[in-house]
Amino acid sequence: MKAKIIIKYLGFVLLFNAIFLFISAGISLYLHETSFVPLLFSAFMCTILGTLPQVFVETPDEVSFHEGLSISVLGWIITCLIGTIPYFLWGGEFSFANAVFESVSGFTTTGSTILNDIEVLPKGLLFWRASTHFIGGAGIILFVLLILPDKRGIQSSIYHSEVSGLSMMNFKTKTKEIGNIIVIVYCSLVLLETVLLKLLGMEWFDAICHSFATVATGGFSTKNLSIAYYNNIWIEITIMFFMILSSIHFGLIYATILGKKFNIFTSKITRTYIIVIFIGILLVALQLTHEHTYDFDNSLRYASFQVISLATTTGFATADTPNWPIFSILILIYYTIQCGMVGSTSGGLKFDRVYLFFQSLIKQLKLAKHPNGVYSVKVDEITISNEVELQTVVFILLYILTFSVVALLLTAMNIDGITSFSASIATIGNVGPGFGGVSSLGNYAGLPDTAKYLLSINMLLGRLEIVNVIVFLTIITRRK
Amino acid sequence: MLSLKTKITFSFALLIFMLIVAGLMSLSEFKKVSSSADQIIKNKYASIKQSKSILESLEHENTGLLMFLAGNMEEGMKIISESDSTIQKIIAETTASAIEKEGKDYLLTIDEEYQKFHSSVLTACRKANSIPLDERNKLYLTEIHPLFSSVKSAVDVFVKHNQENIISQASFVSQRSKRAIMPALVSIIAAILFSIILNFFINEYFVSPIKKITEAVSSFYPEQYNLNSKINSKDEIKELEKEINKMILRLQRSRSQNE
Repeated sequence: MKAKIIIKYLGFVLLFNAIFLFISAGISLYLHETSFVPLLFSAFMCTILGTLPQVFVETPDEVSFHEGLSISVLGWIITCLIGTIPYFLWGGEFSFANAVFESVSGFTTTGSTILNDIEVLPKGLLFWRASTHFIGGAGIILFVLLILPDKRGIQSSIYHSEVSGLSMMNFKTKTKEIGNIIVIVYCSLVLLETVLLKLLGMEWFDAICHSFATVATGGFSTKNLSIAYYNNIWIEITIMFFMILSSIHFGLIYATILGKKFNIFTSKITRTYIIVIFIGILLVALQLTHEHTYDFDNSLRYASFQVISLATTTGFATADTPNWPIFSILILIYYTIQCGMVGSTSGGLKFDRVYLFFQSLIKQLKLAKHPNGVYSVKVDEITISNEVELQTVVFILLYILTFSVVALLLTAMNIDGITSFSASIATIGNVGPGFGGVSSLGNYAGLPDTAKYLLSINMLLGRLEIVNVIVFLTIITRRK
Repeated sequence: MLSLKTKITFSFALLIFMLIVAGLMSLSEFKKVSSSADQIIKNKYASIKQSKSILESLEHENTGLLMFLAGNMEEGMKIISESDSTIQKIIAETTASAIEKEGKDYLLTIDEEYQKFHSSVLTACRKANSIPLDERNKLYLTEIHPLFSSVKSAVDVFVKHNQENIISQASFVSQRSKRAIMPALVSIIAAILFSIILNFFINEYFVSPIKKITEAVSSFYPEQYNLNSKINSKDEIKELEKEINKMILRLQRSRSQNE
């Protein structure tokens, strides 16, 4: 493993961040805002540190899997740390712990915030906050690879560490094209949603920021009341549509647009995913109506938005869900665990793994009944190997173990049970809002600094899919 | 590929640029803090000083009224009109220079209270000729003195507000100073990081190849046709290796010719 290769690619990561920092600084300069100097300063720091490796290290002929994995893990960590600087230098509610939390939450597209008053932030800083979602949504490493020439499968090595194997199965294309497909679909969705939101009455600035947050399944809003601020059913419907679309495998969206045979409508797993969401909406809406929380129309409206928002790991809000009946809250917690599909911008456990787990469970039950039978697990007509089955089960166990340990540590900091549990699940799943003290219209400001650092690590673990981090740590310790 | 000289020059140029940016930002932050602290302290100090002048002139006007009521009408009226013009002028100046809305509101209250007091002074002066001396004292104590006290209280509240403001602004300035240190702190961390990376590259691209060449030269034996120092870079050190290899070749040829 060559350190200079890793440093070179980390330099590209910094330079990519610098582009958005310069744009944000430009907005602040145009509007004569106080965030101009912090943003410009951060942009310069990124540019300088990112340029140094480009001066010395020539483009390598190949990148090993270990180097690719290190680039991916360290790239995310460095990006999150760089994102902290403009917040911290600007001040306001941003202490160091708060700035770290907000930055990690942005890049991992979690969308949890520590801000009590979002609207007081200068627009330049708000744009940077939304940009962290945009950069993190598709994954900064993918953006970086897109602008680099491919030499002897360098892209392939890094993609394998950035994009999970499970999601690569559904692309049905060469590895080097996957990044292009993700970025093309991603940018097209952002563009389309921005135009629609503008047509529905949002300001250009808000439309761009909300599109970044929707397509990245992030959830940062420019308003304190999130989407509830607009109280506009058409804006809600548009955002719901794009939230669902952004949580579906991008390869399938691309195939659907190109009119290929295997697309969103023919994919069984996608159909199941949509049906599961609709069942959730129906159950929550019926209970809200039954409990007289709202009339049926409003129950359906709020249930649709909240279920879709949490199921797709976006985290926007139109209602304060902690006031809802416990059954509805439990359903929402289930969706917080389940998350979106692989190959999309959503983080966390992923619906495909849950689906695969139940398929595997059925297979094991069949095997218990007929020990000599030959059964296989299939996802969209692709036979899943026993190895992938085992990896999925191990991942689910690791996931449950991680959020349980984090929840336990949070309760040790005197945080109540429901807040600890839901904050842990919502951050590892990159969802954002939880319940209790960290509800949909609330924030994470009240948590102690140690809890904020812990949850920041949890968000990164969720985004990097835990296993990658463990492998990376074993590589480092082995080298030592 | 860039030459070693260019790489080193460019790296130091980057470091210098980083330090200049960091220095400029820190200076700008400190300048902002010091100018805001200076402006706030000067403004509040001036307000307190002007409040004291209002109180002095108010006392003068009150003395002038007492002189007028005691029978020294000409001297009394002169003091009253002089004090009035001084007070009006100070209130106008202080209102114009006040930074915050709260301060302007306090000055408005002072002005309103003073106008009540001053009109009651003028009314008393007009009535003074038609009423006996003991009635004049009664008039002063019942109607004018309470208004005089009200103006004094309003000025006292304004002075207290300014004093409290100085204390709160001092803590704000202290917070700003801490923030102003942050760019310098971030720059120091970035400079350390930059130096570590630069050190790594210098070791990788300068020290290590030179060591390789040294090792290759020290382990060189006469039958060898090249150094084989395993240098992978495409810079001047690689050129040096090539030249050494050419030199070896030339020496080998000349030796074989001699033999």
